[in-house]
Amino acid sequence: MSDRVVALMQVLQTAQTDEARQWIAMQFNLDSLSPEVREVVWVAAIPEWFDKTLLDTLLEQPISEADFDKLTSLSYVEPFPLNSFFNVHESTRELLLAKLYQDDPQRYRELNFQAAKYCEQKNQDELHWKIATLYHQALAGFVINYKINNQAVDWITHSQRCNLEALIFSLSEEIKANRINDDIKAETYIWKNWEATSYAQANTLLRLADYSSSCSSSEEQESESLQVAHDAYQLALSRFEKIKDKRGVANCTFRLGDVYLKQSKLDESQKRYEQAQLLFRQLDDKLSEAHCFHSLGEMFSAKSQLDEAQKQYKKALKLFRDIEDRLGEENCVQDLGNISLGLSDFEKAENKNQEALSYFQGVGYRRGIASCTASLGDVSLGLSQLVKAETQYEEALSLYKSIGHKRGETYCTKRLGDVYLQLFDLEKAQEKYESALRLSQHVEDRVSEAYCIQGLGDIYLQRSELDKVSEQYKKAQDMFRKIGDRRGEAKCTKNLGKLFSELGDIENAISHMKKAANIYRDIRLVVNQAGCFNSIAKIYHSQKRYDDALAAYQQAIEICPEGKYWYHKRAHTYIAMEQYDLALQDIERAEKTGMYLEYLQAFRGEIALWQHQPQTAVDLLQSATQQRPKDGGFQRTLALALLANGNAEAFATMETGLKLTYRKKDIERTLEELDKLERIYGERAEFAQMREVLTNYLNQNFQH
Amino acid sequence: MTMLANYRKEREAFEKLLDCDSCRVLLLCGKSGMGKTTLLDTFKELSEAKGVCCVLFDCKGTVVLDEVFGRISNFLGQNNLPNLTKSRSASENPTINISVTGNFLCGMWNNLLITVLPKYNPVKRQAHCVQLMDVLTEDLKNLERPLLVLFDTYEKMNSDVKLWTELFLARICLFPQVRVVIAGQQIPKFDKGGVKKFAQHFELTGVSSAEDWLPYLQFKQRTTGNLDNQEFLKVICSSYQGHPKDIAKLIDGLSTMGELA
Repeated sequence: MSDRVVALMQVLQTAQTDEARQWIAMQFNLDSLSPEVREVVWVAAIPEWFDKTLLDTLLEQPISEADFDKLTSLSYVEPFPLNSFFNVHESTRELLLAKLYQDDPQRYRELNFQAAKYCEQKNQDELHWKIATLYHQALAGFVINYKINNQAVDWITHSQRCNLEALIFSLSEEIKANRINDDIKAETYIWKNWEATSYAQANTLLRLADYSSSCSSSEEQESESLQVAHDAYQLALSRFEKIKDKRGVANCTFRLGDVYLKQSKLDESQKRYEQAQLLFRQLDDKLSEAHCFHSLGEMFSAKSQLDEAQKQYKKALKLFRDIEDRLGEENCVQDLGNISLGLSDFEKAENKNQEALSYFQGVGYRRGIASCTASLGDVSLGLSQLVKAETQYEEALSLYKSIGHKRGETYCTKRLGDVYLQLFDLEKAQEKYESALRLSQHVEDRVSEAYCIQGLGDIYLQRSELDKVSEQYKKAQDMFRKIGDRRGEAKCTKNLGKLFSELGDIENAISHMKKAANIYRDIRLVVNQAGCFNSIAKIYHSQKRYDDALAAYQQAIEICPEGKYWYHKRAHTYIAMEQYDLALQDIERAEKTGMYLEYLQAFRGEIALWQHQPQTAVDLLQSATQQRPKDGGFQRTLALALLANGNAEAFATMETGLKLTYRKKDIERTLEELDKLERIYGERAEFAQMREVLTNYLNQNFQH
Repeated sequence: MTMLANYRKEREAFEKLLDCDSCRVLLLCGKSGMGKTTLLDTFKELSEAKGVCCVLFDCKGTVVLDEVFGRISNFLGQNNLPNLTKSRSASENPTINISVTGNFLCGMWNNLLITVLPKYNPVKRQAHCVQLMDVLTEDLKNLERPLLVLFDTYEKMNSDVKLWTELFLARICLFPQVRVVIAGQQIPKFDKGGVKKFAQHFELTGVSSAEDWLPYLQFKQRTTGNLDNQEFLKVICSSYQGHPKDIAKLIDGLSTMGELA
């Protein structure tokens, strides 16, 4: 042992620098330790503080209790003032880290990587774990500038600037020692000096807020990210105003408009966009001005003011063309297509979306492709091409998922709910609406949230769960009013009308339909306005007030004479009035539009049934039912046709139909139709048997 | 027991700090490894032996202002801090979002009013801090028990705590029962104001006398074997200019007497 001391004395005499002497002392100390403890000393220098569990994670073999005690008894290992952690004393730690990094940088990074993994699993709400995670990730060479950015903005906006100081302090030590990559070095420098100059601060904030805002769709908590972005934009705005930087003010103002739009605060969003547009014009910045017009278009679309939205998109389109910005141009083309969609001009909407889709596919702009595909789904749904719509929404949904676009995902999920509702697949529709509702709440997309709530109301209405319906519709109506979405409000009013109709309060039902028609008229959605009269006709039809129903259809036709939407409904009324020729004329008209074909097929089947052509009726109704297998009405009518045709499966089909029937009056109507069948086909034992089935079912399930 | 090689002058100054009224703040400045923490540990033991309880804040553990207030308050008890207690209940304003994450808070003074520091605006923050200090001042003026506050690693103290500490020290002349020791690679500067005459400053430059290290070597039961221990200590004290951390490492690296036997 004394040989070691002699050697030490000799080597000390030759040492030239303080650094050399420090290392001699370290080496002398390390040599006195067992190989196991020596290894642990190196590893213990990696974290700023440690406990046994952390060291066990970093070491290949867990450290024994005795060796851990030996470690913590060393003169350069001290208790850390947090929990029961320890730390290697600062100067010794630096010595060890410098040596490790110099001799084996790969191991240095690997150990930090392991430490980062360990810390990441700990409670990130606790500051020391959060800082330790970022610290080790940075040293492991991860690209975490954005994480540091976000965390810094978050702390600053939540009055936790001191937390940022702690992180910067940790990273600064590593920067001083040159063990950290340049990007993180720059990021740390920015935050270290962020209060030094107003301009740098404002610019930094703007950049960071941009990040919070843009990444929010793929992050866990969009609403939190939006709030962080909002606070940082506000702060940056005040700084830019203070130093009179007009471009900075314009940029912040515009981005605040974006945040408000995402938060469904439409009036505030409009105000910001309009302010920004004027500022960009003063700066002669055509591109940014075009973006302002485009965003105003989006905002007016969200308000369902489609005329105004169209004007703004056209202004944006002109500017994008002037500066030859093709992507901006195609975005406008697509949005104009969507306006046509809103105005129920499906042909135009389809053409514009196809045009934009080809361009986006050519340049590989996935968000554009997803958006156009979803819009084409809207076209298909509007044209009642439900299977096609389902495929298109699924395709768009998967694209949105692949790019982490939560709002797009929400929209497509909700629209799939609409498709399944129209297919009477209420279970699937409910699943989609509920899933979209969760997503919309998660990303704070209030408009989608309101539509999902309304959609759930529609399902309850179909299931005759009337007590739940009113609550849903009123909730959605309130939300639409708060957001300022008049189309949504009109839809809710109309649906409340449907609810009153179900409750037998015809006067209130019709009054609501008329109120909804007035809102649609105000926002110039003519098709929807006429649709309200179509619904009034349906109410009269259900009351067997067929003449009143015909008058209401007439009103719908006068408001919107294009006739795509009303003739198939009127055909249904003519069938009930047994005016089959007139019904067939309307069916032919409706067939030319290419819409609601399965309904028209079913109507033709029904007419055949009443005209004593049971085989034709069965063929037509079977074909229609295959397209809408979950539609109880289709199944019941098919069962009657099978019964008239003498097919034994009539009873099984009726059983299926009854399972899909939720309203008493639908079964009562089928009983009436059975009477009619008997009148046409004469008395049969099967008819009586079927009547018994229906009556029993009615008594068992609708006694109350 | 903390084994300390010398720093006699500083220990005497500390004993004086506890015993008389003329010095109330002790500042210890020194580079990393100069023995500041060990010295503070010794101070803590000394004060406890004298029946003076103390509160130690090591700023490398990210001390936040809540913790400073919380621990002082827990130590003194609400009865001794009537003004602060009143302020606390007044600060329970539901419109203000109090957010505390990752601190070491315990006891009844968690989420203290200081967490309600206004956002962004340093002027407002400062004003708020002054306001809180005003409240605490009234309580500390009339304190009946001695209070010793120790701060270690001052250079890592965050800006909020630094601001509060400066305010606290600036009023030290008003607090007859309060004593403060601050140690760090940097320490607060008092070029003017009342605190200067109550403060004593020490620059820690190491322990370069071999004699001073002998008790440490003996305490650790280390030996150089055939070589004279004193001779060995002389060489290393000279080579390392009395740097305590390096010298301690070398001593620890020696064989123990048991091993040699």
